[in-house]
Amino acid sequence: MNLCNLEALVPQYVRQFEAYIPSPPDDELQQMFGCSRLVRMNNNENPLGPPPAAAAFLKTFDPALVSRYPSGDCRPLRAKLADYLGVTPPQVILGNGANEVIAFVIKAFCQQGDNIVTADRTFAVYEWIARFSGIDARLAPLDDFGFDEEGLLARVDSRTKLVFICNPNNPTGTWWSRDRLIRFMERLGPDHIVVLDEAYAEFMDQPDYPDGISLLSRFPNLIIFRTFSKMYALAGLRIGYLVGTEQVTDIVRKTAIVYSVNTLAQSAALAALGDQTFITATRSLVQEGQQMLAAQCAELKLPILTSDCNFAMIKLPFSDTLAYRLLMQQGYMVRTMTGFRFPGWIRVSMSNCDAMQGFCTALSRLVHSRTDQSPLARAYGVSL
Amino acid sequence: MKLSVELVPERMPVVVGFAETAAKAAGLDASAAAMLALSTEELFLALCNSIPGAAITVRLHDRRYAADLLFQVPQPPDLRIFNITSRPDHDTEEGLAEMGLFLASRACDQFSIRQMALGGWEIMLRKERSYPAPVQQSQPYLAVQTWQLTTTPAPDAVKQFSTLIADCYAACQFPEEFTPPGRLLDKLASNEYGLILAQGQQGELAGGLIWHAGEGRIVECFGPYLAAPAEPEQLSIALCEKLTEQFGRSSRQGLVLYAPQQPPAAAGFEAAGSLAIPGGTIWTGYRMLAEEFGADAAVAAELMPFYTDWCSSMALARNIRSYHDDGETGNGLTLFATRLNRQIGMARLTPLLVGRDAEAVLEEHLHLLDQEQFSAIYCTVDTGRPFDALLAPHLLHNGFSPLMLIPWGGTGDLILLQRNGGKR
Ligand SMILES: Cc1ncc(COP(=O)(O)O)c(C=O)c1O
Repeated sequence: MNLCNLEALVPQYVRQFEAYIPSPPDDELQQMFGCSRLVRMNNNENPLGPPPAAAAFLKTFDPALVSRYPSGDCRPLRAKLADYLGVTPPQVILGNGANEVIAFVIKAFCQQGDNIVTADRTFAVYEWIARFSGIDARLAPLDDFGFDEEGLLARVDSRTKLVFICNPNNPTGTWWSRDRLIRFMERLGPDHIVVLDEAYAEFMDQPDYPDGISLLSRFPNLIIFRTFSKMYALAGLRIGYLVGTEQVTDIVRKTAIVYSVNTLAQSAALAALGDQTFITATRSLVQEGQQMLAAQCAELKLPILTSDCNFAMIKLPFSDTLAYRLLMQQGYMVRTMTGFRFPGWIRVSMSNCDAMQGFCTALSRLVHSRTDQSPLARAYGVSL
Repeated sequence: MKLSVELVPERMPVVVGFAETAAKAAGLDASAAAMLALSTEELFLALCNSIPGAAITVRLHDRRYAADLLFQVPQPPDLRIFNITSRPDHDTEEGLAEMGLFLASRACDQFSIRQMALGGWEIMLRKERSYPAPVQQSQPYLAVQTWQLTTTPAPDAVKQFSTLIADCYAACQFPEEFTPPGRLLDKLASNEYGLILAQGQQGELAGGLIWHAGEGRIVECFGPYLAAPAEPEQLSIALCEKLTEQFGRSSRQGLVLYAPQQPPAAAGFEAAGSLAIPGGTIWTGYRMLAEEFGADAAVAAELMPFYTDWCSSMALARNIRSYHDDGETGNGLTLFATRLNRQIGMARLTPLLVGRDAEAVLEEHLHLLDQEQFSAIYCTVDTGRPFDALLAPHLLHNGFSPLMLIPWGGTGDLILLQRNGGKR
């Protein structure tokens, strides 16, 4: 068939959009970079693996069940989530990862000519989905690494449907307090939806970190995102959700894809939810990792942004994409921050003690090799 | 402006008239418009011979600083006619069949041909506008202690910046022309170029960096040009970082920097080689924007030491295959795109197709460029296009040597070679 008119079929905003290329599998990368093992510290995953109950479920899962469709609207899981979060089941909508839920919301509220407002240096998917849907993404620069209330408000107009706030922010780990969030909601008013992305909420151990869900009765224009990918270590199963008022979720449900969350994901999430022992263990792993990394950066005189989240940002005195390649050769995969508009920074996910120690050594070797004057030191990647 | 026309010689006056009128409307002066018309005549006749009767469209793309005449043809013409060295011969029947673009390309600044994604070919002739000579400003430039960066400078500031380049930097320190001010303003107005400017509190000029996002995955950058080049490391870093930030979340893979002096490592650029251009050298740097996952690369044995050295110093993950000439026909024939900068005598050849006639076609090009007094001649080979490797021995044999590596500069990595002198 001659696809001569293919280009004419594609909307301009899709034509302009460049597809995201995810990283190849470990074995391919190891072969390319010549490393015998690869520690992924780029996706903010939980190195502990899923909570015990979820792991046990996965081990004993009856394969015969996969011939049947899952619950199309995740009914049992919604019931448990609603109970756990103190909302009603219709207030919860699940998706194939929080990423899919972002798309549900944008589709539900935006049409061409509308816009979304968010920060310039935050999780990219809000901006991406808006752009390839033909919706303008207006970006407010961060202020001192945090979301800037004034900048966001200045970009809001009558065609602004959604304001995305990543709280805490990926990749900076900064967050708005309850008071600050309330002040923002009051200033913004009820004419726009505010999406609070709380993908890392379970890591937060700060008294004035706001639980967005508790503010729903006061601000019915709020939508809260959460995910099982981060704290609950179910990233590979792809499951995330949103919570809003029933009025709002009744609308979002129209654009939500039914049956998109698979059986395994639903049941594993059901088993994992609310395991406080596991959450505590993860938090202490994160805290140890953050401390180790902060100490290493202090020694190397590298600025670092740490937080309660399971990642930290480090500023290097040379290119982050070069650092990425050199660290890959040593078997450590980090996230370069140029793509987040933070050139020269890398984001590192917290891992177990061994991996963190190995990473600290690799980082130290890297920094010395690029900053020491001796060409020999450079050539051999050591400090003389 | 667009013209649809059949490829028959009788239609030539219409096409030539269109080209001239459109070029003038786009602001080319009479002599430049006439040159473009002349090129059009040659090209049109060549096409009439190659694919007689075919329906084509001719379009003018006004780039402000230049006018592109674009010929879209539905099927591949005999590509040999597009080598700039093919001689036109109006006198004989056979000569007509070999009608070439010798004159066409001599009258133009850039000539290229590309296969379009959805079928058909597009041939481009570019003529640049001419501008009045820059006026020198003799007042001294001072270092500015605190500055702010802007990506949308006012026209007046742009003009000041162009004057600063003309005053403080030798022509050899910029492989592209950004002077006089009118040219820089027009380049910015084309939206292919951008300028990040640093200004003090009173708007006094501290420095700037120019970028050019053409087609492809690489953004070319020029600068930083500074009012007081001796001092401000921080300013260089800030300009380079701003630029990187600007393209960080884009589809571009990398930045190539042509710098009057090497910026500090914290600016994020890695040394990528240095180019000799008439009257001096330019430090070149590379900044990858994307995360590297590795790639396969096909490289001629002759370029292997250069390529492996650079891959190792730039920490590029490459599965390198040595590509041998086993007598294959490659792309069948050889075709170069050419980009000329007559002002400083620079020419860049890009192989579009490489076949068994590579040596002859290359030598014809070099002969012509020598005749035309081009003294800085570059050619690229692409490690993602295996047949390019067939060209490498002929390049080395003709006095080229590899100078610079641009990761992801083409389908794969681009090795830039420069001609040092005569044939070896
Ligand atoms: C802030 C933020 N929101 C959403 C997501 C997407 O999560 P999921 O894996 O559930 O699609 C991520 C994942 O990195 C994230 O960092």
